[in-house]
Amino acid sequence: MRRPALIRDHEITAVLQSASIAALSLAEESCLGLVLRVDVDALVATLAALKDSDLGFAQLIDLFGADLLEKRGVIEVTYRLRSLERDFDLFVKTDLEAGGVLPSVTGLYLSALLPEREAAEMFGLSLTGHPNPKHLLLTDGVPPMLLKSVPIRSAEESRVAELPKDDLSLQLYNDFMDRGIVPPEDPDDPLQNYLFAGWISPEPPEGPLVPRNIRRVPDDPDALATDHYLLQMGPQHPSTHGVLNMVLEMDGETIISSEAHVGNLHRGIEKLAESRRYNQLGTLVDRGDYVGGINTEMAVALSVEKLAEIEVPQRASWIRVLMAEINRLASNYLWIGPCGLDSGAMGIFLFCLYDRERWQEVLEEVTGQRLMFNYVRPGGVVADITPRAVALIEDMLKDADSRLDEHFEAFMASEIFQQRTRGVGVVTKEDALSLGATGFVARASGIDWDLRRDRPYAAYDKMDFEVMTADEGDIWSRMLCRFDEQRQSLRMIRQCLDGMPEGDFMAKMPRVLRVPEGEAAVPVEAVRGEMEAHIYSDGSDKPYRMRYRPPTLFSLMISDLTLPGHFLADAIVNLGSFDFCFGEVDR
Amino acid sequence: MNVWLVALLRALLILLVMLLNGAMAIYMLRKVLGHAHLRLGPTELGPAGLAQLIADIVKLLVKEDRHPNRSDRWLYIVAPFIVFVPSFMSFAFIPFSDKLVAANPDLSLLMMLAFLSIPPLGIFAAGWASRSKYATIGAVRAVGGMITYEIPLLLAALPPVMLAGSVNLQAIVHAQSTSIWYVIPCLPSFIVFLICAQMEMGQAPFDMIEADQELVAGFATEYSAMRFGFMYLAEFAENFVMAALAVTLFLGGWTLPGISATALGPFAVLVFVAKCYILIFLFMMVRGTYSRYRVDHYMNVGWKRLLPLSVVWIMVFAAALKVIAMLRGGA
Amino acid sequence: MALDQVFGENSIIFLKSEQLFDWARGRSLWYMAFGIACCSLEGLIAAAGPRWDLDRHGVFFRGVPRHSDVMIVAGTVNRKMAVIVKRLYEQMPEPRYVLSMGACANGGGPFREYPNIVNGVDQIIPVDVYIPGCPPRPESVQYGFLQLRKKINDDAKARLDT
Repeated sequence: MRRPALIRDHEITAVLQSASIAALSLAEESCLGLVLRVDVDALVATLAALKDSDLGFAQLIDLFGADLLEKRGVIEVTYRLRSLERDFDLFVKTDLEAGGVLPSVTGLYLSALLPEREAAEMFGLSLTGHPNPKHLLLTDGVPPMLLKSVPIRSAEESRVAELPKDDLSLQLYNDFMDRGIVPPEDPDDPLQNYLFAGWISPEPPEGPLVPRNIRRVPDDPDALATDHYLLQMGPQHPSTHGVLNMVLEMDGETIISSEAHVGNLHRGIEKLAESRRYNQLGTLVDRGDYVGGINTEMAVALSVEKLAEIEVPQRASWIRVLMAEINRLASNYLWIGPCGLDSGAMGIFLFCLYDRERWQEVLEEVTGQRLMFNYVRPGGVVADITPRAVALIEDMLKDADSRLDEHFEAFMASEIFQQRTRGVGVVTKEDALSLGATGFVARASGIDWDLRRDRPYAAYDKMDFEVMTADEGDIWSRMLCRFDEQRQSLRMIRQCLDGMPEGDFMAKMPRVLRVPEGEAAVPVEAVRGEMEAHIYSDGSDKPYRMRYRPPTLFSLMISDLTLPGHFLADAIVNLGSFDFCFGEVDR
Repeated sequence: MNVWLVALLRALLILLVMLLNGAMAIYMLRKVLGHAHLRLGPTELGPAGLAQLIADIVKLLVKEDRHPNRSDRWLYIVAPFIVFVPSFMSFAFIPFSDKLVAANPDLSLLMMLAFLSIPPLGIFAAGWASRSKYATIGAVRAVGGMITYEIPLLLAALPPVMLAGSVNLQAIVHAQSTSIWYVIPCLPSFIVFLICAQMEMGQAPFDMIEADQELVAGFATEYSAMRFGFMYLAEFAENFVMAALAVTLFLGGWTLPGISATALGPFAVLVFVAKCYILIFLFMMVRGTYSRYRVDHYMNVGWKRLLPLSVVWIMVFAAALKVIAMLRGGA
Repeated sequence: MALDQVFGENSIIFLKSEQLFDWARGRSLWYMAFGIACCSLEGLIAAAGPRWDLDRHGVFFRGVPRHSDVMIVAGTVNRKMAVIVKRLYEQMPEPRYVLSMGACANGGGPFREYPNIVNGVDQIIPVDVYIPGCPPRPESVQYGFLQLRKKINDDAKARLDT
């Protein structure tokens, strides 16, 4: 295990001084770690200095806002930087006025592309310097939802709430039906971009309103001229794995550029969390990452426990690991299968479903639900594991490894599949770093980083497991990493069954949990990458703000960047290989 | 009897066979894929789910027939028939038994292959007329695919013709009944033929034209109700035709080794159909197992593997035939 | 007049054939592979999978609205999605049916308070069967399909009785 080499605050001060930047403050905050506050004008320079310094802040892990207008009269934007070499997270915070202008840092960290758009639209900010400053999640006519001044529906309202008759989306729809034609490819036609008409910046970037990507294939004057066409893939498409809407600019079968449009499943998990008690947060985040719920619940529980300084019983920690790994197994099966389906193999899909159902049975036996567990809560877990669950797990462990090998043999050993995946959808290590890749996407690109090993939470420090990395960064290596994850999960499940300590499964908790004021974020290696629930507490029984870091939102940017130059068929497998979960992307 | 009446009766009989086969094949596909995928397939309606087909077909017949707004109306209407009718007509040349063959011209093999090359044009028409981007991509792929597999397919069908000395399917069967099944001397051709047959049928791993996960439903994306049903049926008709062709050319047609045609009598039809369905089963298992080729890999397989292989094999085969003939003549 | 009884609008032949058609429609329900949110795992994927295998009842998925009879609204519909759901519904050929699956599609579910959410998909398209649950189990979806079949068959039967 790597030893964390802490970055001292004087090192950061030195970096800032050499760039002659005056920080507002640099202090250790109890539950968060080192926090650097800078003025908004100095923000880009600060991040540039930090990125170029030898401290190795190569990754922007997360970017989000928080409405502190009631408290301090500002909107706070937080940048979470990570240095993998030094194993250190730095929070850079800046304050903006209501309706202020957020300078884009996409020139430094590409991973800011989508989160910046989200932060800007959710808090009513505008963006400068962003290549594509459009709405991300909301349609036109919806107010910036995460502002505290925007209310949610009351109980009465939510019973009767109908779509407003003047809703822009429906208007455009009626317009569309009246004309009775598909939207013409006319850049000035609002129908062309009817899902994403709004610009959140005062002046949109120049050029025609076609989907654009930051990496364009240069025009070759000598090449034979063919017309490019736009292909709308999704939201209803058999292999977008949910409600992703890809707008592809195609040249024959080759993709020239792509743009992902998300927000079709945006349902305000972060906003609604502000009206839920800490114990109820699980119900929301479950529906975020709806395939791997236990891991996300754990992220919330860990953050709350850190803030409230709750001691979790040993047994509860072990049960958490056990259930999280079972959940990871089940969820990964739902990735291997559909990834095979995307490449055209029906068989593996149903084989994986079969295995998933068997693990699902255990989850149901212990948690009582098949998908929405709400099982891990602050203080421990809701229920102990039952003898029947243990028997089920033991029964399955008998042939789980051999079945996994069988899937590997039957599916991945197929030459066609290897042809389809080797060297396709390559994410280089640099791209992965700068786009904030975490989890198996990062590991497949050669970034040796696993939060379970490097920052152990729950009982992961007592587990013996290995982390596999691959260097190619293609679909094939993502597949290999995932298969290895499956084997390691099985290993950990065995260890959990053998070493499960006796004791309580839930700490003594008050009926209504009140959490002292502060901020906390514990990153958790969720199924699809790093997930963390960044919780602002104001001392009440409900979080003031909860940021859900969606790992697949960052994967989405990566896939968007890797698509150009690929065939349509490859694009499908490539998209599938990032394991999107749209409850999580859109939240 | 009136010549026209006979022709009409024959045509009706073929239509019946074709529809029956289509229904059987769809049922079989659902059952085979079901069991291959740890499921059961239809079970609830009728004995072992057999009545499921009737429900499906009746439902498709009474569904609304939609025309996309900007479609090329006439082409859109005609295209399913361009797909359906040639597959139907190629049934006429299949020798089910010594007597049971609807049309037996001297060039039946060539005519059959000629008819089989028409459906891709229908598919192209369907995709083009739909004015949907997915359908258009499927249509273009269909034409690209056709020129990929047609040549190796023809070349693979040649060695049995050389051995039998005839392009009449019935004659080829008779020639096999007196010697051996041609699969033994022409094994490479048989393999190439099977692969090309998969391509021709547009089934996984070569289902470029409909590629569910890429093109939604490819050329058929905009078709609904029975027009879709027609194309679906034609696909399964082609399934049977290709299997029948493979059986006829390589697996002895309706004959069994060691049993004379007269002894086999009416069971010849059963033998033939059984052989065909064994091949169809093979096709279905491949369909349910493998990943799909990418479209350029597909072309590579056709042009860079199958075509050289069949050309070289034909040259070797022809030379070998000549040498054997010379040796025999010399002796 | 007698002829009218045999071939007319409410004649016995018409009703009998209509009954046959409804029999077929109710037993060949192809649903559109269109999963919005969490419910799709249960209602579309698990239901088609090895354990529940709705194909036994003649219920299986097609990727295209044009080939499908049933639309399972499996998940939360927000204002951005409402347009698409409506458009997909109108792309399906008649007769078409809608199963509203799960709390969100029925009435907003746990997200009903969020102003961007459409509280109930029945505000956009007509719904035939509501399946409660969050998410409903695949068995519930199976039962929903059986109820839908009953509903389809009852139509013709009711006309035959009068």
